[in-house]
Amino acid sequence: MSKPLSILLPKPPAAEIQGDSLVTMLATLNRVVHEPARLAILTVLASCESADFTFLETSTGLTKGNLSVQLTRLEEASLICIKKAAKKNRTITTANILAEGRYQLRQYWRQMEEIRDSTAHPQ
Amino acid sequence: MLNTQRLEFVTRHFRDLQTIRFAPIPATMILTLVAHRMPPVSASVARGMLVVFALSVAGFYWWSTVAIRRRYGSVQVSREQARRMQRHPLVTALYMIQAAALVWFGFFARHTYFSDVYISSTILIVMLITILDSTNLASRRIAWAIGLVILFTAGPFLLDVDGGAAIFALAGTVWLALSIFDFLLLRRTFGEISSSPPTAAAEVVVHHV
Repeated sequence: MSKPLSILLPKPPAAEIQGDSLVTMLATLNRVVHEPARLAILTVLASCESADFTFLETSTGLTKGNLSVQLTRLEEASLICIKKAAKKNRTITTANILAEGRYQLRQYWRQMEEIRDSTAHPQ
Repeated sequence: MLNTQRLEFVTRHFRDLQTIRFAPIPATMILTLVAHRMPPVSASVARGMLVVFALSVAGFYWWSTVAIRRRYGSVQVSREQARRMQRHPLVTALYMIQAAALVWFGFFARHTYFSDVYISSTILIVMLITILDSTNLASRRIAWAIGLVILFTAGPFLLDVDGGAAIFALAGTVWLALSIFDFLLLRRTFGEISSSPPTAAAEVVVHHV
């Protein structure tokens, strides 16, 4: 009687299995949220109802151009909502996080916790 | 302290850290010690001083609000977030004790104690809200706790000194000191976060993992 194939095949080393699962976990991370500048923006917006462009610029330390690009990217991903209002010949830009953005941020930190746990306690 | 925590702190407490905008009020409270020793003034001079005081408070508030908004921007915090600490069990218990004490003092004790109890208990609750709030930085909680201890240990001894001017000046000093501390903390936190933009942003990820 022939033995099952799995017994015949050599077992991969434990570190390799762990590495594979880590790569899989990292691959499932939301790339839009994972980018540090966008993560900082989402962190700020998740702590308030809305914040204006100047506050986001000062709190994240990003340049005007970079912040503008990252905000557009987050808006395209439907994670935040950007509003522009004219006030005394000036355009005031405010942003607020959407329910989807809040969910994705929570989900992101949950995945990060899982990755940390799997690297801290390898099986 | 992690950068994510700093970001959350500075966003949640952005308005709380700007009590410096009311600086003319505690400054005037400190000046009562000097005013107490001055000869009495006529009613018109007193009215003029009151107008100058009101204008300086309004002017400084307006100027500082505009300056802070231009430098740091503005944040809208939801009512739910702003009143989060009002639901803390200890704060709720203190409000109930305050209400009971005010009823008792209002009906059964000397009415002169009513305002004393009301003002002191309100100050106690307001300061405790900041001290108990776990989203605050430890340094801010410690500074406010020191202020609370100074106010409530030295205060009773100063009640009758200079006709109450001394306790007024002490309260003004504590208020002004905490306002300056909060504003310096705001500046320092912003400075630390934005000192090296890419690294600061990357730390959000690196430290959390």
